[in-house]
Amino acid sequence: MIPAFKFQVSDFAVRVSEFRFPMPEFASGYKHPAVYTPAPSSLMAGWDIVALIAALTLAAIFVLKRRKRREIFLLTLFSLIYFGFWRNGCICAVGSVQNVAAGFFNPAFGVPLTVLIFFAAPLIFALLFGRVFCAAVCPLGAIQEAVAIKPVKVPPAVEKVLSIAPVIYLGLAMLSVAAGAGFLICRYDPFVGFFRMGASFSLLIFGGLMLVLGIFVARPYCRFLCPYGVLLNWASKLSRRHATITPAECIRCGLCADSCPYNAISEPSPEAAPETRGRGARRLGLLILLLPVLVALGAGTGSLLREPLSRMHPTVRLAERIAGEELGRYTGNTIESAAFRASDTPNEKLYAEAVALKERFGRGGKWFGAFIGLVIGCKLIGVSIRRKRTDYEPDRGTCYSCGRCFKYCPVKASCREKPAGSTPDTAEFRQY
Amino acid sequence: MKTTKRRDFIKNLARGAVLAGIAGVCGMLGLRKNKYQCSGRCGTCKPANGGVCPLDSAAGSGFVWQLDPEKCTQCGRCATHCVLAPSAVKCFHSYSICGYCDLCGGYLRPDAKERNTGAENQLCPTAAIRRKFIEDPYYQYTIDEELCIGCGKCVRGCSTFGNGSLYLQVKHNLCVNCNECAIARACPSDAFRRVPASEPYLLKSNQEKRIS
Amino acid sequence: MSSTTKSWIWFAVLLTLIAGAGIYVGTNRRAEPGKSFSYSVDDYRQVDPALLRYAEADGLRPAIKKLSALAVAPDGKIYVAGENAIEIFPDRTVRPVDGTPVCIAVDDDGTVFAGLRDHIEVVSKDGKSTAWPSPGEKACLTSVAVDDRYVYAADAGSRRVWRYGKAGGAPFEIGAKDEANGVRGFYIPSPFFDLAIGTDGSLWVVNPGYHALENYSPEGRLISSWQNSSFGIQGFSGCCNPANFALMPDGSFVTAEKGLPRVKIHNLDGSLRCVVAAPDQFDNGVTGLDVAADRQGRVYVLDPARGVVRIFEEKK
Repeated sequence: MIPAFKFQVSDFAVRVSEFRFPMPEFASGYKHPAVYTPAPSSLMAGWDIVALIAALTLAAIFVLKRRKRREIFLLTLFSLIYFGFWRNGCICAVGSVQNVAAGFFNPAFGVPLTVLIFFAAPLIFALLFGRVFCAAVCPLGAIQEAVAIKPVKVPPAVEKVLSIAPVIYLGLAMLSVAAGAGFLICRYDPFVGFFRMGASFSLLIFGGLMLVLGIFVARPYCRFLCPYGVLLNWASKLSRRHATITPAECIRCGLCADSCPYNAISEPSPEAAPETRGRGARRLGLLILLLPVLVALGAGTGSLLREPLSRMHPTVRLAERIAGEELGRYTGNTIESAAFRASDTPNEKLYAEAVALKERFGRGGKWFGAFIGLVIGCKLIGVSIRRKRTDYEPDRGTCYSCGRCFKYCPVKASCREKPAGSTPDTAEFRQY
Repeated sequence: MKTTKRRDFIKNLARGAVLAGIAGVCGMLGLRKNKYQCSGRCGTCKPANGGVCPLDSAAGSGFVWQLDPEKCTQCGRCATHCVLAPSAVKCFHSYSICGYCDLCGGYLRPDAKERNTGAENQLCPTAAIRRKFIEDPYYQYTIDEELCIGCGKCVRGCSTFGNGSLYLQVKHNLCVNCNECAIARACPSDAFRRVPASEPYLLKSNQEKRIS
Repeated sequence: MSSTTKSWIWFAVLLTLIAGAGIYVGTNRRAEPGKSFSYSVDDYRQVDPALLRYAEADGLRPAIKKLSALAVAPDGKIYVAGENAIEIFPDRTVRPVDGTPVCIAVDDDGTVFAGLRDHIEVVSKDGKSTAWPSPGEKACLTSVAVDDRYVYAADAGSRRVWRYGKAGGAPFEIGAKDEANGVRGFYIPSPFFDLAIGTDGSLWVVNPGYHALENYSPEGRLISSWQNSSFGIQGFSGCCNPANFALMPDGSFVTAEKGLPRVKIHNLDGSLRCVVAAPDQFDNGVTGLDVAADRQGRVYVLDPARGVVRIFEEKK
């Protein structure tokens, strides 16, 4: 799969040969210089795939077998340097979702193998081993891990409510791709400006703010914005093996839940049932009945929002600008409207295109709204179902397998030899 | 004997379904033949040139961004909207189209008093075009890429008053190949499109001597 | 402060931060390139109204498409060439041609000499076509003219004028560089190279790169020339102008330019007499304007962008 470094020798027949007006005859025998056409450096794509698979495998080993926070963190730094700064943070798995979606919605959109692997490999590893991609491979996660020095706990209720934001972002990104309005995720990626050392001023400010926020609220992008994280969350819920906090029996000291900046560790269920079973069942039934209502409501709202949503698309904006200029609402031209007027396209064609696009956004908005309604309904159901837990467990969906809890857990493997029920030796407590 | 709980069984089933789904998606997108924005110009599908469309295989070289000089309106956004500074778009000179004129529409300002290399006479804001006398009455114009910022002023001058031998192109030793090109998004005449990385340039003439 | 309140504050702060930053990124526009990066020749598009001494009359609308050339026959009929055909006004007859002529000239008896890209095609009055052999592999014919003795073809590709006899045959070469006799050679950057035959039988040829009009004898001897390079109204702008010209009955020159499209009349010594059509009377960037003049001094301008032949008459 690693492509050899190829020299593309001539035969770049870019133009089908046509008559070209002959050059002047130079009496002095002048010969014009050659044109320098450097080839793109996409030949590292093969190495990217190798590095991705290797990093994912190593991350899985570090999280599940070795269970050492330092090793996970070193791998995180490597990913930051390689996938982030060396490869300029592009192509990344987070954006690959859009390419795959574009491949679906547009039969003429080509999705190269590299992009497919960047899309599939983290998901497959999440299905098998949990979110090891988020732990140590994703460059965006890596840069946030690197600055998360003084994490503060976000109240779980806030976290739960804000966890709908990445789903909305994912839905909007898919809508944008489906309607041909471009790649939202790439445009608002806060950290890519630092990776490739170049971005618009506002994007650099956004990125800077996210990093400053990230010092205190660990992984803000991952928790509240990352659209690919939604998919990884769902895949990780089905994971075959997942990071466990303690290698032996949990002693319920609670140090892990305290140390986790992401509220990803679920406490053991309390001894006494806080409410009657009947009441819980009634509430669950109500929420299940509410689900289709939420879906319908979402679909309706999404469809109604077709006007503001359609402004994502530049053609719609241009049509509105041209119509406004014709009616005298705007004075002067923008570069776009001037270029449009200089082209041969009649205004009617532009308006017709804009109307068709608004229809598309209406249909897409319907699906988008229904999807959000469904997710909200499922989240409500999920919150209302109580699982019986005896130990502290990481929530498989939201745990990033970063390994901080390994550091704080006082129970070490050597305690496995002791009979169950006895307290561990404090002398065995090792510091990392 | 392992007892499988119902929950685990459903989980395994779901996991298998998702894995199959991912494999299906990748297979479908990876194996299909893509006539992705075939420009009709590269001619690689002709038997004489190899016969294999570079867009057909997803295992191919991938795609890069390029500017179509036929559509470009020289708005100047190539210089301001690239995520890199200076822009990865630079001016190309097609020597086989150039007229080698003394009164070069892309080199001299319209109100130039004299036809010489004086800075007050030059159109280029960064003085990136070099003029050299060849023989009477021909002059050679070359672009110094270190200085060119891709603003397109010379391109407009050359297209209006000359042969149109100066035009903008994305240089791939500089371009970082963003998934969504910021210039492509801002281009008012929609002149940017994806081309296969094995044929990354849309030149105006195939009679140029080229070095990669 | 209760933990619920704290939660709400947290929620509000985080939401505001992220949403605010996102909106800022979304609505912030990159600066447009400033004035020093913009190119404008609008100043030169203005023409002093005192110089405009011609008014546009009703034009001709040919039925054929892709208009490419214009000629006025000695009998006053207008010949318009387009896609694979030539249309004759006022009868509106259409004569088919094997290809789209780049240039045409009409003889006394109605024979049309059409310059296709690399050779001359003779289309007789009854529609029969004869193709003459190409003058060379670099041939790019851009203008044809005919008088009672010769047929002249301007070849921009070879940078020569070919003089044929009325029956064709091997052409005589005019324009080879001959410093001793003052022939500096034709400097042609692009395929715009026009010629016309004067009333005295001598040949007037544009030397586009020098913005000059040169007068040759039929044997290729340089008689006289005049030139004027300028963006201003009195000269010729760009790299190869005048792109087209024609001779008025009194010998003065009607010139059409490209780049800054305008039609002017120059006196016999080259000075500007008046302007027929200013740049704002044409579509932006139009090329291929062809001019012709008839015996009454009317100026015909072929406008390929609008697909018409525009007629200008001197104002009273």
